[in-house]
Amino acid sequence: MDQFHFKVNLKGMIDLLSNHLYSTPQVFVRELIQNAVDAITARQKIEASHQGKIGLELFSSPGTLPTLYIEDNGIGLTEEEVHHFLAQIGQTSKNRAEDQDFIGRFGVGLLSCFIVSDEIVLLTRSAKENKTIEWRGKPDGSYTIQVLEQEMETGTKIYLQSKRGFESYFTKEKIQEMVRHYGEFLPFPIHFYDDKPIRLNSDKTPWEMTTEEALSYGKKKMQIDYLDAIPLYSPAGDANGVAYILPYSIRINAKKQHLVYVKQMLLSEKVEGILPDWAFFVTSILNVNLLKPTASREEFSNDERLKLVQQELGECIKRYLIQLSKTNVNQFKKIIEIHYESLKFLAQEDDELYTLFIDWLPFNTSFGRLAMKEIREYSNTILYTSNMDEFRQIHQVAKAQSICVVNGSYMYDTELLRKLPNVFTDYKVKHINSSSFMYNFTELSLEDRRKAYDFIELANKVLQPYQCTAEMRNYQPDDLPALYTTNEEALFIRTTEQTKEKANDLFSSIITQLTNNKIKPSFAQLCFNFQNPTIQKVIQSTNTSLNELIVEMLYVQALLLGNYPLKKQEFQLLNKGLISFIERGLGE
Amino acid sequence: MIEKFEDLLEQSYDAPHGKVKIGILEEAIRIADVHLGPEEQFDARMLLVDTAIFSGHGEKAIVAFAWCLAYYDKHPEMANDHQMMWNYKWVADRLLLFPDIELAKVEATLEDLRKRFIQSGHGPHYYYYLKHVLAMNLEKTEEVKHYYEKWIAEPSDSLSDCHACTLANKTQTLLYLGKLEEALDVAQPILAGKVFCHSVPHRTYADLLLPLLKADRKAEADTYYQKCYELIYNQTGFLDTSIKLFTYLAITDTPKAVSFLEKYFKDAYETDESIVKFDFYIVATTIWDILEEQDSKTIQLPDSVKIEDIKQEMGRLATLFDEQNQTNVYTNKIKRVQTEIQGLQKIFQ
Repeated sequence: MDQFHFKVNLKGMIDLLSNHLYSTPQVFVRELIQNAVDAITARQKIEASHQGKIGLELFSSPGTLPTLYIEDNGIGLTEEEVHHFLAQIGQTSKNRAEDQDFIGRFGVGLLSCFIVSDEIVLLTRSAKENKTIEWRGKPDGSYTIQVLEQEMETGTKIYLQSKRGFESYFTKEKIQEMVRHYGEFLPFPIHFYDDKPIRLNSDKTPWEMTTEEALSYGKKKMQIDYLDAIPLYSPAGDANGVAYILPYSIRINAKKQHLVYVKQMLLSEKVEGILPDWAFFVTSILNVNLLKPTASREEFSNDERLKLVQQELGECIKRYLIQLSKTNVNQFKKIIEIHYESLKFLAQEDDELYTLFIDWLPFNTSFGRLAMKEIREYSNTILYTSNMDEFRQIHQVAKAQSICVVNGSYMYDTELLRKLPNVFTDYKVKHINSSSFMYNFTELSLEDRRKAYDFIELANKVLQPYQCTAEMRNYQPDDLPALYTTNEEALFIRTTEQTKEKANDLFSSIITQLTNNKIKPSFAQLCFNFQNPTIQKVIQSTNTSLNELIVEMLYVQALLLGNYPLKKQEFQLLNKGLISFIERGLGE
Repeated sequence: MIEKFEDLLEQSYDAPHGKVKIGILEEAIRIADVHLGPEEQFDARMLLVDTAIFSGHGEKAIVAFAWCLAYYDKHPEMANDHQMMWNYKWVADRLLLFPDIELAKVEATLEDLRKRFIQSGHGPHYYYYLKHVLAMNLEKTEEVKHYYEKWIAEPSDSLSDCHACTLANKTQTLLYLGKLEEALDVAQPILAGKVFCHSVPHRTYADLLLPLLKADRKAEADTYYQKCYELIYNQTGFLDTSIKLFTYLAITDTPKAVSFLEKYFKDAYETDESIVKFDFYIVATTIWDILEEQDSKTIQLPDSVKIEDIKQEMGRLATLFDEQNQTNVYTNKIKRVQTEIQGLQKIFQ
């Protein structure tokens, strides 16, 4: 069988690259510096004491398009290498065994230059042979090579003339800005030759700084007063960095983007997934040596090593917080105040952190927002509801009775509460819902039961069509005549009733079948308060029709107090009741 | 109240699928119903539809959607057609988890969906898919083949499932038809990790377990079991997938099956998705009967649930499902699954 190679249209490739692979044309600067750094690193392999350096210059004169010049004193390319690597765009000049030491891929790197230029001229002299080579390439894939007579120091020089329309990338300011952007922390000096050489990279990286230095660097770079700076280190990724704690709370689902360098070259400012998901309260600056960027170079290949690096970096943050909770409680409290959601997630996953954090974490309770430490002062039995509706039903009554009930319906709260007895062994945690809470209301005495009997019987009859039963208890606050309580099932049934009134016939009948086939129907309760003065008067009344009206109105009122949407028939009750009372009032 | 409402929606965006998120949205709906206008009522319900679907609460999705659909029919400007049809698609899909709803009503819903899809400029691709799933549920093999052919011949469109799901669905059908090799070919990109989504490869791993066992390829099945369990462990909305793992354990590893039963029983007991409950109960009761009495006594069930009640409820559901669908596949299914597990268990343990 014959084997053929199909031809790839280079121009099409470049379009593809510029439109899709690279998010901005300015990456050509990154690729150029990358190639220079690679070349220097390669030279240092054979000449350990070699002092690498990189220089840039901009040539422009009126009437011509500006040209960027970049030189390095790296290893250079031999004639054969030039053929080999530049002829086959995309092939890397680094052999596989040495992959770990080099970052870029020469061919692809140079290719990105065609996004902004129609001709690349490259002069190079290899440390391995005494020949100066000139290569000229065009975006259509054609190129020429000649050996020059002139002497040249070992290294590579590249001339890049701007394409029409891309002149804005070829100004002194823009070039300096782009080099600083990508190469701020590169280990070899980079100079821009203006009237005098300007050093473009800094001599200290954030991961070499003290906390104070890192914080002031962060402030200068991002204009944000971070709460704290946590040193990061991952052996698996040979990674170092700083995690800045954000001074404001952030949504868990917000994109967590980090400023990441690979071998000290900026990979991207928007790398995701390098820290664990829970670490959404920090933003980081990181240098990674042992992770593989994807083709777009803006994230990492999602492999086992990445998971390990994530884990190790996460561990750094955890250790730091643990340390802080012991040595600097005020700072720790400040962090919790802002980032409790994140820390709740952490505490819920990790027993060690749980023990340290739990007392400081805030919860919503019938007394407002309290830290667990404060909640524990109320009672040795911590009561909580697991959904909002239950909490809403009982929190007022609970407060009136000085009972602290925690609203466990927020993320992780229930899980956190359930773990409490593991740490505080003399504490109990009890889930309550409105009915179990109601059972704690004081029962009526036998004598009082007799007094209330007729009224309750009547109320039950009146409330029957509304899937609600009536009860009578003593409870605080006195001024609350009746409390409507329900459970999840009963509430769902209520919702279906309400929906059926609106839905089309087909769905309405589907909903009917959905609920009819459940085993047991669930009822809500209306619990009257025997201590309430109005109720006291009502049970003494013998006017049946008036009492029916009162039950109906108290029922509707309790629904409204509990924020329950009224069904059609309940609205009618309300109307009927109001009119009747008005008429009674006028009649007197 | 609008602030409270917006705050709840904000919280719901952050919350992972599950009870907490549902609770937050239901609270938002109550506030919207009592204090705010139809726009908020509609928006919060649409969010609930989405959340309930992915949290294993199809019944809540159906109810919330019914409200939205009725409102949308009166005020078509309220939502864009695509958004509405997209949710309808999911609701119809979940409706198939409720064989306690009369077949005629389910079929009427699918016809309504088809009509609306076409009216809004979409094709019947997903409709055919649903028809063939319904046929699979009712074990009408000829109908399955018929609609399967129609489904794969129909061009997909913006209401179709994602690529990963489509492959997973095809795999599932081929497995139902007993074509293991073809199924593995179709599933190849899934198994190679090239395509994936919210529920894939999870459910494909699970679907493959029993067919692989039957083909005496336990080593592969073991690997997929492990991978699947890691993916769905502590995740919401995968109870149906977990039943397949449960079945696999019932056959291959009784002690593990027992602790699996203890871990997932509460979810099955509480779920309203009746076919999921039913399927779980079949495996649970089978395991129970396999165990010696002294061992079954050690199984911890929540509250005061007794196995007799479970068996009774399972029987009630089977009769109800059969009645509503004019069939006997559900009653037969109990026996069939039991026999299958007991038979295979003798080979693999």
